Amino acid sequence: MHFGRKLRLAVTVGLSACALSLGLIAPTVSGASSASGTLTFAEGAGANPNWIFPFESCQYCSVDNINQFQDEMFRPLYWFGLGGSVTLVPSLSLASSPVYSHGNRTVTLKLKGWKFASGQVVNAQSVMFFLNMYKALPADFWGYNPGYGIPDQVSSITHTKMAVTINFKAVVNPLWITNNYLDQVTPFPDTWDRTSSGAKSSCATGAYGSASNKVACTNVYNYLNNLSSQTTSYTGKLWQSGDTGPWKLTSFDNLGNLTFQPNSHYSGPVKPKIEYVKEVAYTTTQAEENDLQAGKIDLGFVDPGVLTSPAPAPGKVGPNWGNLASRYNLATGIIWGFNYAPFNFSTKDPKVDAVNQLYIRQALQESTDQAGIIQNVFKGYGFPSYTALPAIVPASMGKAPVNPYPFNLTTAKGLLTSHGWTMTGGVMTCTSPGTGATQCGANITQGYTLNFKLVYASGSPALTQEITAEVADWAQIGVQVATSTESFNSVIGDCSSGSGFQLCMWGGGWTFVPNYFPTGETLFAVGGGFNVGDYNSATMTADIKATDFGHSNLTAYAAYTAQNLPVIFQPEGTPTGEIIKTLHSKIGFVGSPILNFMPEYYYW
Amino acid sequence: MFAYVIRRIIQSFFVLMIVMLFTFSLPYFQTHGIVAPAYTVLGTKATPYNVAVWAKQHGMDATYFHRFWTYATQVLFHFNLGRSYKENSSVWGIISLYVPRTIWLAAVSLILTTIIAIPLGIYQASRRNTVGDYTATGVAFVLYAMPNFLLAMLLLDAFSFHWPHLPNSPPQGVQAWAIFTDPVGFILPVAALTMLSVAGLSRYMRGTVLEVLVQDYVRTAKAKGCSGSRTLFKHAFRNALGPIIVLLGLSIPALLGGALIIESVFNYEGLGIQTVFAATNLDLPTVLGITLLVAILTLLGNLLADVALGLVNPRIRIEGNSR
Amino acid sequence: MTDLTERERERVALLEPADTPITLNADEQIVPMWKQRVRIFVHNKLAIASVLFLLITVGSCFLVPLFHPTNQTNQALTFGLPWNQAPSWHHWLGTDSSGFDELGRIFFGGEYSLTLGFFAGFITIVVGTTYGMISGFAGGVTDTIMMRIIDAFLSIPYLFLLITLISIFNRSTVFLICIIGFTLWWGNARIIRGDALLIRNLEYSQAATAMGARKWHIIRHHVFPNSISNIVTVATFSIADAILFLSALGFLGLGIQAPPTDWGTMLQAGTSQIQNGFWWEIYPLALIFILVVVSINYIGDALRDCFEVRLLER
Repeated sequence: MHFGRKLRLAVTVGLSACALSLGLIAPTVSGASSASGTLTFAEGAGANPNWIFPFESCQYCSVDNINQFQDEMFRPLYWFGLGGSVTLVPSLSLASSPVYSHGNRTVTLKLKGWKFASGQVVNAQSVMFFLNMYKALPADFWGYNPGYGIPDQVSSITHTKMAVTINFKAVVNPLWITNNYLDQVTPFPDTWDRTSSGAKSSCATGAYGSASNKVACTNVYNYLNNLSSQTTSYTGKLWQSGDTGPWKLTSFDNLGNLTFQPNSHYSGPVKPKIEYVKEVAYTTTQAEENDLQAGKIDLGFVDPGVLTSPAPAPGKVGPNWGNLASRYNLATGIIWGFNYAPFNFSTKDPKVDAVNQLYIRQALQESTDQAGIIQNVFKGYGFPSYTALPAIVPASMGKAPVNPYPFNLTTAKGLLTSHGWTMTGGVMTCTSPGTGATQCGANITQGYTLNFKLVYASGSPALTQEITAEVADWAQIGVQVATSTESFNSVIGDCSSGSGFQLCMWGGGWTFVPNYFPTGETLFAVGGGFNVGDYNSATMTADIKATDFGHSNLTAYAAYTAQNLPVIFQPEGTPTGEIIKTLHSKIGFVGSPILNFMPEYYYW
Repeated sequence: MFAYVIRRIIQSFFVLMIVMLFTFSLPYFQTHGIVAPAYTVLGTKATPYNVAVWAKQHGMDATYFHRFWTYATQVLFHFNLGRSYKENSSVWGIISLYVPRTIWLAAVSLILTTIIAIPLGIYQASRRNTVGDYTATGVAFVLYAMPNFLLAMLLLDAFSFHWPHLPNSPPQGVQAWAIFTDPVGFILPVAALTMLSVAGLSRYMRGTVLEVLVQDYVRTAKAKGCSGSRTLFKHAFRNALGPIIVLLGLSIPALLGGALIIESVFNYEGLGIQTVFAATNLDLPTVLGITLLVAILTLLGNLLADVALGLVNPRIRIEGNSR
Repeated sequence: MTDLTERERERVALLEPADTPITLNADEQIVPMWKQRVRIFVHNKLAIASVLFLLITVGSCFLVPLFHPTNQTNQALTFGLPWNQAPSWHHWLGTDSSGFDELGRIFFGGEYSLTLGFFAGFITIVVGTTYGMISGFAGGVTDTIMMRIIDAFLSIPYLFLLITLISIFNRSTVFLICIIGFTLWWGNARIIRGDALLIRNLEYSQAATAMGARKWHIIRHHVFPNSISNIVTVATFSIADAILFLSALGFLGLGIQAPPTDWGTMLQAGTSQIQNGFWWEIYPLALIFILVVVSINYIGDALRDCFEVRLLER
């Protein structure tokens, strides 16, 4: 969930290297029987893999490190997503599907007996190795969510040789635990259980949660963490002995260029058909586009801004860029997330009284022309968002509501005028203070003006166009929004600090990767880790708890989010990947919504 | 001479301390203060608690003076520039990875610049106000007036796509010295960088030679019957070389700044790009380390230039402050 | 005198009163110095052409939008209109990659680029001159310390410094003007300080001190007038440099932030469409940009020529 943010900026901006993770669905395996040829894959601009140890802090939890690098070698216990799907793929997982019992207070994971490259069987101890380390050092793993899930709600763990049983303190929603916690568990081999190149340790074998195990795991963590900081070790025996994936790393340089070759020990059903997979680094998107035109890469991406003909409809592919059309096919897909600009509900916000009024938030949402932005700025490669769910969700997870606030400047303006606001010099000014149904609302005094401030991330022409278009429309209804720009990261810092602005927009929204069950405990629950706008609603918190700990699906939560507008929902860009025409895929080419990169399904 | 060099080195040391003090203090003026990089590094995990933990881990709870003292002693006595906040590397690791890549690029273009600019300047000065002089001046003016990235983009578009004869970038992941082993990929970046610096230098070159030409001793030499070319090369060249050497020494920061744009356009991962990434990510130890390094290079360049000046032109009383 | 370079010493020699009568013709000596200078400048036809071109460009940027306003700020109004449209009767230079009229945008961006260049140049002059004069006139330890500070800043690449400052602080237009101005003045201060030092060491200046004239008097009557030539020349070059630096920032996405724009940001947007062959988004602006910077630089050169004492002899 955490690195999603970074990625999404990339997507909106059109830098989506990620885009290219093409998945597949058809099972037929034709083509070459032994691996041959070289596949060259373009990494996102300035996004180079630089960390191999899967138990990492958020400093390294990026798409380029996890989805495009570690996942090729160190497969998680449960694999999600194939082609355009986002659900559990049992055939690619290291364990059979989790079995919940005791009224969803217990889960049992049964391992399939696949093997590490070292020859060791992936058994319960390999899983315990990870779980022990997580218990000992929760804050050092990016997936940790204080008070939720694993490890904070785990009461005890028992295991036999090939099965692990986790008992929870409370009833949990199976979908939530499987999709958001078990998918992050990566089994580690015994060869990693050491505190120096020689000394064996007992992190994998110690008792879960015991003090001695904590010490052992901390020492092992320190050793592996330090080793991972030396990139020369990456292709070495220690790291590669933990390889459970279809690929092994055979070269890696500090600039982010690397080569994978098939892992001959891979136990999974789909063996690689390509001999070399090379990932190459880029300084800018334009440099990458130059290489595409020169035909130097097989899987790349373009900025939608250069496309001259728009997509016919959201999720559909339009004509390819003229310069590439003869050699490449354009591919798109959806992104497993949504885009938004949080309101600032913090008490430090000088205009918080206006932000607290639903009708004002509603007026802003109704004057946000998502369709126009998608058509013009994203060249049709985007979906409108109007709730905190991805554009398309499986029925098992719930149902998205009908957009309650469609774009309509007249209605939006009417909302304000009917609540006691009068346009004065282009700005809506409160002329009827009070808390009545036709009055401005609590704490809004006579003469209060709707002058807002918005801070957004600079450097992306698409985001700039999006924001300037919205500001122009908001001005139409009398809400004057002054903009200022900062670097992507500073915007997040400002959003979190909560002073001096009413809206902020980093451009990336949120991607539910790899927390594949799109709940809102991080985003909108009181005290949520990334509740940057300090949104505070008892109804919302209750709806979220019901999805995490009850059996309810996301329908109620999504409906309330759409209706109550904790944020202004923004259009969500979709990836625009380029695939060389001579490349084949067993599952077709569609951008993976959860950013998987699975070259084992490709062949020449 | 020796005493002079020692004095200059001591002065340079103080200059370095000023650079360090300045770059070290800057982050204290950020919106989120000294902990601002925590938001960059932790991203969506930047809860107040996590930010506090991060700040403590990086010693940011200490006072300004304590932190500066720690940093300065660490740099001065252990040559340890610290560890990058963002990259998986020590600052030294970043420097030793990217500096050679950029240095070779810059050095090759600096040599080409010298080879082209000095004769061009002499030619222009000696053929003053001829068509050749006007053409050269005009071209230099236009190149100087062109934004670096525009020149690079136009070169790229012309020679890689319109008339596709040259590669659009050096191959990825090559060694720092690939510029010598695989020069084809470097033709465009080096050409762009060289054109930019020639444009800057040749203006000075022409002016300097002109000044030398009107000076008394050249007139005297002519009066004594020295031939034109002899005068030019024996006297004018020698005397004009001095200022040019000083200028070359001073041009190191500009060259690295120009390399930033060139690296970005031609997809060559070097120091410039890395600095931009580090700066925009608030990776302050890296910014600080690179700044110090470039400052050292520049000061060294200036010192060498002054020493070379003394060798080229013995009339200069080197014990004076040459600036 | 020990603090002077060879070149500066030569210039002292040239400035010394004894030299001047020999180098000037008798009839020209009657003409006041400033008239001679104006005459030299006016005789330089290219310089006049440059001034005219600049006047026309600045005038167009600020005046044409008054008579023929085009939408350059309301992005929402461009929705539904064709983007990247080729030149037509309606849009003489077509529309850009955000759907705005390109010709109107050149004027619109020019207002910001030129204004910023002017103000940044102004800051450079004020700060650089003050600093240089204080340093040069004070001499001794003060001078050494002040010059070492300059050395420190000169040893950091401008662009690195600018990017770091922008990342750490903010990107408002006013801040951009300030930091571009403040990162350009070091070189200027050094030149002015050289002049101040030079003149301070001249005999008449020393004589003035001996006569008990106060320091500010010396500055006003001796140091400043002699430095004017350098100040004016450096000012012109600073404006050109500021415009160039702003364009480099525009390339990195750190230029003037929307809805306003500047020429660098526009050129960057144009070059990103270069492979699509949308020539109107890049070449017209590139031509104007280059001509503006060339003109400013040429005017600087011409000014230097007419202030250059040695050239007065001809």
